[in-house]
Parts: sequence; structure tokens; C-alpha cells
Amino acid sequence: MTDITTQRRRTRLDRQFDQIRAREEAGLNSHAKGSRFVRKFLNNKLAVFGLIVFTVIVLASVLAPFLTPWDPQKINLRAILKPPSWEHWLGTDKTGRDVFARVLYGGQISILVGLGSAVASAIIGVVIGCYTAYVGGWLDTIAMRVSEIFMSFPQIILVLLLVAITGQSLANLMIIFILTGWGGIYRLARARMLSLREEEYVQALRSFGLSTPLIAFKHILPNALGPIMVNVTLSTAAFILQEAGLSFLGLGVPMGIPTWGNILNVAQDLRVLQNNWWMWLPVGTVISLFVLSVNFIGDGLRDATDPTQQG
Amino acid sequence: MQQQHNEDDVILRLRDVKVHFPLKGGFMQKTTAHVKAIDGVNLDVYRGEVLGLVGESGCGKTTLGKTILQLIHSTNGEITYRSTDEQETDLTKLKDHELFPYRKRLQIVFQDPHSSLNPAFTIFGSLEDPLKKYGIKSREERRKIIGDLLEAVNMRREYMDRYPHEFSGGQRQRIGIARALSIEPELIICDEAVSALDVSIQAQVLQLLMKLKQEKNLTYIFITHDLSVTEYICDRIAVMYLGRIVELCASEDLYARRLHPYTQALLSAIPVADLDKQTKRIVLEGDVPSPVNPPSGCPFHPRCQLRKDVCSQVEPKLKRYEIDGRDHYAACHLIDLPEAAPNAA
Amino acid sequence: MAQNHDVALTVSGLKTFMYTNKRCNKAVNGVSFQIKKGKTLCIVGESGCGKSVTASAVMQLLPTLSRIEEGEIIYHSDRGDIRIDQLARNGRQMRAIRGAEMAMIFQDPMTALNPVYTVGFQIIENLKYHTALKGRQLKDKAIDLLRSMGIPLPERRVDEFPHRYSGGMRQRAMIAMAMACNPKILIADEPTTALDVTIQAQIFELMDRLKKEHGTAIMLITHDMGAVAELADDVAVMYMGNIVEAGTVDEVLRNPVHPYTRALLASIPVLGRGKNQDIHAIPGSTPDPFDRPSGCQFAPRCAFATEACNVMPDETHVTDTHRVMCWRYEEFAHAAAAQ
Repeated sequence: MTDITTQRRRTRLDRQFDQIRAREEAGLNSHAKGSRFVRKFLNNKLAVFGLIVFTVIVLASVLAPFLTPWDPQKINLRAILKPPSWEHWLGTDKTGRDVFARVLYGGQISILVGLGSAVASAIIGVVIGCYTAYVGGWLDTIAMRVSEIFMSFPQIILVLLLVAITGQSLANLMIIFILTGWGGIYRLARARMLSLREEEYVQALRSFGLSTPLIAFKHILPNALGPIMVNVTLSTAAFILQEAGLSFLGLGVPMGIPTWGNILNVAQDLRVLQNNWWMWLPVGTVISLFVLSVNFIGDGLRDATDPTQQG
Repeated sequence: MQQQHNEDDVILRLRDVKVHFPLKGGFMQKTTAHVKAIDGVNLDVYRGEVLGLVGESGCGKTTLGKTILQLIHSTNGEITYRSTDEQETDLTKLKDHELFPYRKRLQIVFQDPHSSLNPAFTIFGSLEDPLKKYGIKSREERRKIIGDLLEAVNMRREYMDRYPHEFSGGQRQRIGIARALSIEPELIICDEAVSALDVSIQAQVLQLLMKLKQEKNLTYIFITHDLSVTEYICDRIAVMYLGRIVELCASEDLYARRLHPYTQALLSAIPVADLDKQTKRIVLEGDVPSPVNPPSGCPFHPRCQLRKDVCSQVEPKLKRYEIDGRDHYAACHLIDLPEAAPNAA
Repeated sequence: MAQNHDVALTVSGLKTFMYTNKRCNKAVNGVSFQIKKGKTLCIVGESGCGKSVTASAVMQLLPTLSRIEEGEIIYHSDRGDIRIDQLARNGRQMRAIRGAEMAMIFQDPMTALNPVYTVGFQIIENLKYHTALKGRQLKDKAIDLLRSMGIPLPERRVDEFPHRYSGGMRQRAMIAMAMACNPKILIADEPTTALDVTIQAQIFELMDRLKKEHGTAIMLITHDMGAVAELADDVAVMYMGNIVEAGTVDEVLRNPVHPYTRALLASIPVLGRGKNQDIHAIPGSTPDPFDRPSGCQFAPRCAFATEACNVMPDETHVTDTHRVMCWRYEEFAHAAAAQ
């Protein structure tokens, strides 16, 4: 029998196939041990890069007290607007506060706001979505309408309102994020639940007379988590950007507490923009890197949980 | 061998069961029409028998199986369960929490081995919750019971700690059977339980089902579209068409002398894997009509080659005939036999 | 194998391997057969045997992560012999053949038709690409095709979308699309598995008629031995990537000599044999494709396996047309003849 691969043009795919075939015939390939999910994720180079960058930034923020001796709130009027030096790695700002320290400590707040809001809104969205979608009927309709009401609030107006009434605070910001954000995850959880509800194992559970919360939360929810996990990572990035935007406008966290957003606030001033690059460029870069890395992780998670992608 | 059953043997009695699903449409979501999935079914199920429920898609056999278990609520009619000490209860009248003790007696095995087990749980995890609910409190006891169940379906005890995706279709189906057996039911509905399996595995699972029936004194309602399988394992067979039973008789009577034209066409359409048994096919025209708008009179008349005027005007009732001392029910105007005295169906 | 004008397609020594998950699955491991004009070849086997992969290989419709390793697929066209395996998968030559001279119909009629285009549009697309018809002629030919497939009111149906068709009608529409250019070879991959029995009977009758009227060579993939008994002229039984037995339908169904064929026939309930028929399940299950037995793939489940079965049996001929891959086939040939 002629080996036709020599007569057709050999492509890169052909070479890969030959390698795999040779290994298989030598008995070198074995059933991959360990979780397929982990393998697929680690195969995705961008996702791994994202994970590394994310971990570095988070660790740096958490370990801020060990990485810099400077207090981010301490004003030092003798060292205003100093460019980067060995003393102040990223220079100082208008009131002499060390920029590097502010970036590190600011990370703590920004990540807390981002991750905290994402996780809290996920919990609310998942609990409501799973239960009401499983039960269906008028409960489901009411939940849908309620979520639509919440989602239709324009965030900026809400923030302005709340700031005007109660003043700026971290807690207010997170509450607003959660209130306007749970609807998205609710929708996702509901969609997954509606399709999983018809699976045969669910009907088997019902035929045993098991209770509704047990079926919805213990049995179906683990299967619905895939896209929800992905959404949580992406929401984190989105909330951080939102917080940065609001703080940049002066509406977010009170100015005393450093966050990436209100550090960036200074860039509103054209002179700072032109002359004091160390005050806004590093922060901007860190925000971009963080959001990018979270997006890569989210992509990696989505591909890893997708059963149709080749692993 | 086929015996005549008497009243005492009845485990389930269905009277005039109807399941109509409303179709909502229009601006205000008004009910515009109904899908008449089941349109008046009368049936007795006897203890210890294998009753086959056969028909093509849209005939309502799967819906009937789920309605018996009250997974779908009937729009009309009674479904009476009769216990071994002759207590009778109408399942349709019970609320969800009142059905709890009856769920123990009536169980179901599903068709699709790929979605009948929760992929996120081990086999033990999937099977232990029903046991917990029905009072098996200690974990060791549950593990022992589940291990025994797996051995009863010819699988190893250790398999209970594995995940569904590690098993083949046939093995998953056997686990589904183990699950149905776990709380010791009296009646099991096999809803196309072997249809999704390879033919050589079907035989394994069928033989397992028969062995379990003997050991545990079970009654089966066997829902399928495959008439070759029902000939092999069923005692009686009910043929359904568009939500109604059109013929009901002992298994060998169906194959030896079917009375209803639909049954004749159905049997002749089945490809037979035996070169010596190729028969002339009756090819029906047209498609199976939709249950939303069933034809007037006899639901089969548009496709029936023997139809007369009366068939499009009057709906034939399921009548009892007695042939060779056995009951044979059929719903057709054109049967030229004396009707036997009406019995409960 | 005889090379003569009656043969439409010859496949010899075909090996097709699938490379998903960085593993090599030898889905088809040396398969040879011929499809004759005006006759039906049934390839029968259970899941995992490689029958669908064979059909995809012949049409060059394999998924990206797979390839034809060895072997020849020769299409005997009017213009001479064409080596299908040599052609680029989506090259001009292959695309000209696919649809016009070789056509395929699939298992699930629900998903095989594009839901956003009318049925007529999809048939006309095929005609436009492969024939010289224009304008009104295209539509007339589409209506003609639908009518010849037994679809009532074709003038109206041609402008309807697939969701208005029932399952049986969709399958007919797909056959109409496939037969539009009068192909020499029709490959049907489990065309009736998703259909009701009474509709299946209609489709079988249709395929029989096509065979007689147009002389189409039909390759039918199925797992249903009943369909084989009804439709096949020739049969090939596949197991785990090999054809274990092949011959005319008379030979294989009346005198099966391979233990797998015999076990398979003994494990299915046959209509008409009554309640007490003897059914023997085949023990065990198909091996993991990545952990195959050496030698004969059926040996672990075979009641007659011996030491010799650790080496893949050669193909031997029981008669001119009846071939089998089993070391012990002679014993069964005698047993079968004695029945």
C-alpha cells in the first residue's frame, strides 16, 4: 500500500500527527492523569501569563507593608513632586506621599472592591437565579422583573445620589456595585439552570421526592458553575475599571484612602500629565496589566470548561 | 405462560387519564390550543407482569410513564395505586409532599445514559441522597447498600467512588437501574431503557432486568418503540397512537393476530434481521399527525387504508374481545368480532 | 478484488487515524471493500467500530484533527480512475466531485438542513454549483426533485423553511439535495436511526427505488441488522476498525463464520421468533480505543479465542465473495453449513 502522505504536501499538522503516532506506537502516551480542566488551562499560554501577572500584583499588594517602608498617607511637604530615586522608587506626588507605596496599598483597596463586589454579586445572583429558575412559574417571572429593575439603574446617577446623601465611602461604593451588578450573574445562572433542569438526572431526583433546594443547590449548581466562575473573574476586572473611573472623577472612595483610581485622579491636570509622568503612568500600567491578566484568565477558564475544545 | 388476571392482581389502575399541555400565544399569553399528549387512557397494570407500551414519536408513551409517577400532572382522570394490603389511593389527588411514601413504590429508569447521572458527583454521591431521604441514616449503611446494589447489577463495589464519565453507556444504564432499585420499589417504569445502547449491550441489560424482576418480584412498564424487544420480554403489550391506546393484548396475541390496522402497519414496517422472514410491507402514507390538532373520529383514519365513512366521524372506544379465553382490547370500527361483556379494561 | 465496470468505488487498505487530545486513535485500521453500481453495500457495526469515519474518509470530510494514513480510495468515474485520497480536502477537484458525483446523507435530519434558508434555496445552491442550469430551470428542477422523492405539494414546499417539514420529509429533502445531480455514489450514514419505524419504511422504499431507477451505488452505514436484511446486497461487518467479515447478504446472514457476526446475530431479538427465543448477550464491552488488545480486537470477548488470536488474523476467503478475518473460521463454516 502506498504511503500517500509523501505525495501530498506535508503540513505542520502532518508533522505533529507523525510525532503523536510514533509516541502512541511506542506506548509513550498514557491517559492524562489529573484534571482535564487543569491541563487545558495550563496549555493556554496567555492564560498562564495572566495567572502569573495576576498573582504577582495581588501578592505585591497584600505584602505592601513588607515591600515599602513608606506610609501611603504620610504627607511630607519637603519632598513634593520628586521624580523616581533610590529613596522613592516611583517618586512622590503633590503632597510628598510616596507613589510606589500608594500604588501598592491602593492595590489592596481596588482589588478588594473589585473582587469583593464580584463575589458578593455572584452569590446573590446565583442563589436567586438557581432557585427561582428551578421552581419556575410566577416566582421566576418576578425575579426576572426585579433583576431588570436593578439593572436598568444608571450607575453614575446612583453613585451621585448616594454620595450626595451619605457622602463618599468604600462601603457605599461596593453596595452600589453589588446592587447594579447581581443582575448579570443572575441571568447567567438562570440560563444554565433552565437548560440543566431538563436533564434526566434531575427528573430521577424528583422521582425520589427530594426537596427543591436540595436538588437545585446541591445537585444542579455544581454543573452550572463553569460560566459563572468565568463571569466572576471578568466582573472583577470590570468593577476595578469602574471604581477607577469613578474615583478619577472624584466620586468614588474618599480621597484620603489610596486606590488606583484616585491616584490616577491627578492626571486630570495637564501639567502633571506632561511633567510628572511617574504619578500616573505606573498606576495606569498596573491597572491595564491587571485587567488584561484577569481577562486572559477568564478566557482560559472559559476554554478549559468548554467540552468541545480540544484538550 | 399467559394467565388471565383477576381484580386482586391489579397494582395500578388508570381511568380516563388525559394530559393536555396548554400552548400559549398572542399578546396576553392566552391559551390558544392544547397539545393533547394523552387523550383518554384506560389501563390496568397487574402485579408481576411486564407490560409493554409501544408506539412512535408523539404517541404519548413517555408522557404516560412520567404521568404515572406524577412527574407530569394529569389534566383529568384517575391513577389509582393499589398496595399489597389492598389499600387504594388516587395519586392524582395527592399533593407533592403527600406523594412521598408512594415514590418509594414507583420508580423509573431513563433512556439516555449520558444525562441520567449527575456528572459532578461520584456514583456514591448520586445514589446516597435518596437513601438518606428514606431513612438510612448512617454512612456505612448507605455504602453497604449501594455496594450491594452495584453487585446486583453485575458491577464492582469499588465503582461507587468513580465518576459517570469513566463508564460506558451500558454500565451507566446499569447504574441507573441500581438507582431505581435502591429504595426497593414494587413497580419500575423503563422509559426506553435500552434504546440508546448498542445492540449487543441491549441483550445484557434486558437479561439483567429479567433476572432482577425474578429476584425482587417487580412489575415493569416497558416503554419502547422497538417491537422486536417487546416480543421478547413483555407479557402484555399496549399499542399507543396519538395519546390513545389502540390495542392491548397478550404479547403472543399481538404478533399472531393483530386486530388494529395501525398495529398491522407498524409490525409490517419493522425491518426483520432474518432473511427468511421478510414480509410484504404496508407502507403508510403521510406523517404522524401532530397532537395539537388530532383528526376527528379515529385518530388513525387519515393514514388507514381500510377507512370507511364512520371512521372520520365517530371515535372508536377501546372494546374488549375474548379470543382463545384471553382478553384482547382494540379500538377500531372495522373489527368483525363479537364484543365481550365489558370488564374494567 | 475484481476491477470491472460494475464497480463505482474501490477502497483498499484504508487506515484513518484520529488525533484528538494529543493521542492517536486508530479508528480505521486497514479496511477494503467495493461499492458496485446499482447495488447496496451495508457497513454494519456498533459504536466505536469506525464505520462513520470510513464514510467521512471516502467523502474527504474528516475532521481537522485526523488524516488518512495509508490506503487507496479509488473512484471509478466516467473519466477514468480518480484517487480520492490524493486530492486536497477542499480543493477544486474534490469539491467538483462532492455533491455531483458522490453525495452523502446524514443521520439527523433536524440539523443537516440549514434552518435559515428555504429548502428550495439549499437544493438550488447545489444545482447552481454543479450544473449549467439557470434561472427558472433551477427552481423547476428543485420542484421536480421534491416530487420524485414523494413530497406532496412540492410547488409550495420548495419555498418553505426546514422547520415546517416533519422528520421524514426533512430526510427526503436531504435525499433530494443529495440526488440533485444524479450522483454515481450515495453514502447514507444511519439515515433512519432518528426516524419512526413507519417513516423508516418509507425511506427504505425510496432508497430501493433510487437504486433501481438511477443505478446509484449505495453505501449504507447502520447498526440495525434488520435494515441490513431488508436493503443490502453486500454486507461488511466492522469491529474496532477492521472489517471482520464481508460478503453478499445471503452469505453473511445465513452462514456467518466470524464469531462476532455470529454472536451479534444471536444477541438480537428478531420479530416473529416469539417469546422464548434464545438470546445470548455478548459478554464484556468494546475495548478502550487507546488500550487495544494486540492481534484480533474481538479476542477478549470471544468464546473461541486461543493463543493464536494475539496476532491479527489474515483475511481469508470462504468463497469468492465471502471473506473473513479469523483463524478458526473453518470450524464455523462447517457449523453454519450444518444448520
